[in-house]
Amino acid sequence: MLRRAVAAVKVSPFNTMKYLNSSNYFEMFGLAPCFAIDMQGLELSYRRLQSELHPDRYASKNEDERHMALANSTTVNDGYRALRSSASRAQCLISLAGWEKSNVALSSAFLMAQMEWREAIEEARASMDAAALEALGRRLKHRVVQHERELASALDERSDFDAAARYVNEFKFYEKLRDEIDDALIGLDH
Amino acid sequence: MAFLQIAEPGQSAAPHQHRLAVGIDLGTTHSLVASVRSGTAEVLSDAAGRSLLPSVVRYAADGEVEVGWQARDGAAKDPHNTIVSVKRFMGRGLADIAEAASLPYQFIEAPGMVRLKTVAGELTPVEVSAEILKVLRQRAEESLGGELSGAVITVPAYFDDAQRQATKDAARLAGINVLRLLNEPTAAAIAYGLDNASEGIYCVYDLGGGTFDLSILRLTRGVFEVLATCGDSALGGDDFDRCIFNWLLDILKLTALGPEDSRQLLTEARLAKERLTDLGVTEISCELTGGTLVNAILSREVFFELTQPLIAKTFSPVRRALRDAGLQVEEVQGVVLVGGATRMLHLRAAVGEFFFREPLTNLDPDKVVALGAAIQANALAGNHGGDDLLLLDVIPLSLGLETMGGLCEKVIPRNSTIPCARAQDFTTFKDGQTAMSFQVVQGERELVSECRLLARFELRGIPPMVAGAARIRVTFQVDADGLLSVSAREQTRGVESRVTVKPSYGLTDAEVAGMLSAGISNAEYDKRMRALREAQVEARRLLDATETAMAENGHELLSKPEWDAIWRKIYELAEMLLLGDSNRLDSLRQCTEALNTSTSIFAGRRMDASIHRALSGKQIESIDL
Ligand SMILES: Nc1ncnc2c1ncn2[C@@H]1O[C@H](COP(=O)(O)OP(=O)(O)O)[C@@H](O)[C@H]1O
Ligand SMILES: [Mg+2]
Repeated sequence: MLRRAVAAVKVSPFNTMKYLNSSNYFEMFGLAPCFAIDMQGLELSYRRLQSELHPDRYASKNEDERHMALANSTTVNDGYRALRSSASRAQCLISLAGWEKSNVALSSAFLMAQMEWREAIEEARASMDAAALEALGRRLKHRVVQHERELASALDERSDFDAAARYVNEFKFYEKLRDEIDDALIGLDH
Repeated sequence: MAFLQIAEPGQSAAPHQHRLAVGIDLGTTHSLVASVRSGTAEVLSDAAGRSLLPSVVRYAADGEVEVGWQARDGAAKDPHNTIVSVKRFMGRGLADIAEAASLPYQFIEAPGMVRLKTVAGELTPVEVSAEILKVLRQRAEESLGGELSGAVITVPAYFDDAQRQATKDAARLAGINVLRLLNEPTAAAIAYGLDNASEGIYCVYDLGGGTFDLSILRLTRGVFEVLATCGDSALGGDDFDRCIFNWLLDILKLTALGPEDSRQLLTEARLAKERLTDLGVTEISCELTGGTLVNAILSREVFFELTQPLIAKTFSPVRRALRDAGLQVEEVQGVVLVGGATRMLHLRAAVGEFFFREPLTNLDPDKVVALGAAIQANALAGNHGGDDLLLLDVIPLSLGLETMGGLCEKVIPRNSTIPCARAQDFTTFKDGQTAMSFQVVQGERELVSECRLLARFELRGIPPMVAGAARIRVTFQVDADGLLSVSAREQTRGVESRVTVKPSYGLTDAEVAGMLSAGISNAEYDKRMRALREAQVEARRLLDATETAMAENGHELLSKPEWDAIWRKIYELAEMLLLGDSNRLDSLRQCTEALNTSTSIFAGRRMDASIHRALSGKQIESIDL
């Protein structure tokens, strides 16, 4: 993975300054297009790309080059953000596969579970129970890890994009729950 | 000369010549300039060997401008023409300066930014700041022996768009080429990290005269990656002075002090606070204008007890930044203290306790920001030794747009790495709509009215289409200085409107801090308001649609009683909407639902009628049910 990342930078056209192509972020970071990426490889490659492309490298260059650096560095930040989070990385893979939306409806069991999460958070918030909120946060983290495993299996082993799309959809709910727990905890701070 | 040198016009004959670049810490209390000389960053001093320059500017009737120590010493004699702490007015309107009434200046309201009336005429804060920068520029050119090619100027991390823009303008006015605006905690991290060859997660805790900034960074071999930043723009050393001041009033039973006495007592309080850093007890004594003698003994213990709540207040943003960065406090490898107020002993102890480790203080907290800026300036100027340094910073406050019903749609969330761009698609709400206006806001609240308005702009010339058919893409771009520009484009026809956000008015630092904390503590309220706005939008949409349908074929498809029943529901809902009170959320929903139900038969008949029409036409195969 590391070698690929280095190679991507070496053969890249940056020296001649071109606008980066943002259609495939995996390619941009020299990564194989799969869900279970090497996070350290991504970080390393990200820093390498920014070292080359960041506007700070072009601060004393002409207007055109500065503009190009702004655009390229923006693209790299975009790609990094997209690949770092599980849900958006999965979405990138689904889009790359050219898979079109079909049925991504959530199951009633999932929705029921969501209601239970919500109630538990609400209850902990109402009783100002920071410990309970922390515990919910840990449980959620655990759930997310399991979910990521399911997503990895759907994408990397079975190429089941229908299932993957549903998982991505469900992920948004988990992200929302996490925000709610965080907000509640910060609220207790005040 | 051994070699004949040929140079193109405008090009240097010596391409590897060292470019003179400096870092400037333009502080509220003090300003400094630093530069990298023979590989090391150092602060440049004035002829008397002093490195700090008080951020004070005094204007005289004869056109003379005094900056620094002399101006500060003369401040009491000529308060109207001696501008202290001008940084607080940068990018601000009069309405934003809460303390305006208690300051000895004659403020003048002006579009964009407040002005100050002095013997030298009306001045903007940008012009006053430029005077400070001119002195620093001159100091740098004298000690470096040449013309500056550029400078990095530091700004508090929480500074918004207007304040950043104003700072950049001041530098331009002073004839300085701005290489970059750099966040103060980030600058401190550079100086610290490079000096100590540090790796890992570091926190920079910066408590100055009037502001508190906190940044969390990951340092990896010359890469400084800001993970999160937070702050309290209404908390600083001045608040500790005020605590002592109030204590004095209390124990001496002093009331109704005039502005001059207040100022004197505040100064005494500040000096006592600073002495308590080295002494266990200190005496405060002075004479007020009416001849009243002030005499009090203040001990460290009492001072610590008085001000402990202020210190506790700083940990709220710290916890929040940790949360935003997804980190536990144990993962922080070191805490760097910056700013004069971090000299206080009980503050150091409290920070140590919070992070389970001694804070790092081996760099002078007054100088560390300027030193970091100098290192960054050297790198940006393309000088040797700068190529292994890379800085990845973030925006401190979310940027968004107003959507229907006064809701704020976040386009770029806080703590996004810059430069960054995000696009959001919008559509028209009415048939034949040809213009759409946008409000650009900054802040954490969900309601536009409680965020800071940065700019308003309008996209015109949208080709008339049915509601919902136009596709308008609004793009936000934040550059490496943290400055925003916004453009809007109608996708199908390519009509474009572009604005660079120049904020129309300012908010006080306190308001920015307020927006940050309010964004959290009012989450509940926001949610309710949001639900209400959504219900209102929904209700309005249903009203519009029903009225249009009624006008179209209500008469032919409905009986008189049916027609009347629907209109009754329309009136009820319209009335409900006019009340717009958050307690009415449930009744609003009920009312909307009632109208919905009452129109279901009508909707069914309309559907039948349209199918009928379509089937009687010739496009049977294209009917999409
Ligand atoms: N020895 C000291 N002990 C306690 N506070 C101090 C000491 N020296 C300076 N301060 C305080 O530091 C604050 C100014 O910090 P500084 O970093 O210069 O501010 P700014 O960055 O806003 O210009 C003032 O409130 C001042 O009283
Ligand atoms: Mg400072």
